[in-house]
Order: sequence, then structure tokens, then C-alpha cells
Amino acid sequence: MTRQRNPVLTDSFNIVFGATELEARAALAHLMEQLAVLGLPAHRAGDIQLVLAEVLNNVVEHAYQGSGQGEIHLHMVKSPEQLDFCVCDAGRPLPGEELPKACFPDLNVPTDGLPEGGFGWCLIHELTSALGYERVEGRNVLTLGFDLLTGA
Amino acid sequence: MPLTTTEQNGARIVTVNAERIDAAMAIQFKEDMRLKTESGPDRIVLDLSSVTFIDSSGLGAIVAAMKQLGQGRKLDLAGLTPMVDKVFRLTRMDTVFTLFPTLEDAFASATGGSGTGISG
Repeated sequence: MTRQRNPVLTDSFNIVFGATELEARAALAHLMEQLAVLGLPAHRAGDIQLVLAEVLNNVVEHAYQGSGQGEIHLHMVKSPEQLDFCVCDAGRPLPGEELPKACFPDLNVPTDGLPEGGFGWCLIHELTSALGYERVEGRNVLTLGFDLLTGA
Repeated sequence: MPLTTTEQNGARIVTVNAERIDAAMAIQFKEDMRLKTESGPDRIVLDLSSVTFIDSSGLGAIVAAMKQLGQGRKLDLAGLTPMVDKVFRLTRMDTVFTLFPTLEDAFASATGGSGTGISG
């Protein structure tokens, strides 16, 4: 078997799936298996799984409004230093066509006023080293980067 | 959502027998918790030692479960696995809930006593 002459130690992975919770979960599980095979450090796997779960939930519930109709494209490129993702869909744009702010909700409130939501984007911002959003020809394009050499 | 309950030291332990509390099951979790806790002891200890993954929906469902207990009742959390613990810390929810490393720890301290406690 001849060796491929890749000058860069890069792997990529593409998956397209329907915009339902079940398919998103299956796609993510498959991706995590691939990353384990590619030698992703275990301490980064949890962060990546959480961030992508949040992103995919947002696409299913908000971009496609829970309709179950539509496709999601997940593209990954991995080098030893960096893991980059692109999540694309044809659903509704983010409000104002920009990334939501990164602050965690205020918890200094009485118990019955505690927030039950609003944490997703905070976690996404916190755990990624790069995050970008563009609306291109009726499609959402979200890019995420994870630094594999550092990271909590 | 598979939840089992036992009583110990005047508190109720609710054990989550699932690996995930996430968007797909958050609503069911909240409802099942309501059924298991709407009456009973003031202190509920949620045993999360089988749970390896929660997302923001799962976190919200746990917050909701606490809120629906009502005044004067407490939801403590025990056995958080590393990623679950991380979610609570990142969102500062570790300042809202008392987190115990294990179920044993949840009953080793002298807090939350309702009724007579036997020392030792």
C-alpha cells in the first residue's frame, strides 16, 4: 500500500444530516468516534462534544424552528494543533445576523428568578478559541476553532 | 427519564439512571422530577453519578427542578462527573447549588437536617 504524501498532518470529515434531535445526536456521536480514532486528547473531547451539541441544538430548535425539516452540514478539519468546524444550514439567520453576546446570566437573584436558559452561547464562547458567523446566500455559516495544544 | 428514589436521614435521594440529561430529554426530566419530589422531604439529593453529559438544556432542567420544589426545600447535587462538574462551574451554577463529590459526602456533613439526626 503506498503512503499518501500529505505534507501536512491534516484530517477532514464531512457529514450531512437532517435537522432533528436524533439525527444531530447520532451525527455528533459518529464525529466523536472519528475524533477518538484520530487521537483527539481526551480532555478536549468533552469540551468539543458540549459545544457542538449546543450549536446543533440551536440549529434544530431555532434555525429550523423545530420543524425537523432541512439539512445540516458539519465539516471538520483537524491538524495536531487545531480543530476547526464549520456548521452550515439553510434555516433562519441569527438575530441581527450576528453572534449573540457571551455573558453568563446573573445568578444573584431569588431562587424563583433563576434563569433556566441562556447558557448555551456562553458555553460556546467560553470553550472555543475562535468563533465566527456569516450569513451567505440564505445560509448560516458558523465556524468554530479549538486549540488542541492548550485548552482547559 | 429513569429516576429511582430512596430515603435516607430524612432526605430523599433521587438517582438519575441515565448517561445524559440533554435537549432531547430535558422536558421529560423536569416532569419526572416533579412527580418524584412534589411531596416529601425538604431536602432532595440528586445523584448524578451515572450522568456523563449535560448540555445547557439539561442544566436548565435541573434548575427548573429546584425551582419547582418551592419555598423552604433544597436540591443538593452529588456525584458530578468531570464534564458535568465543568458545566456547573463555567455557568457559576456551583454557587447556586451545593455540590457533593459523592453521595456519601452529601450525608457526611451536618447540613440540611430535618428531624433528629443521629451523630456518628
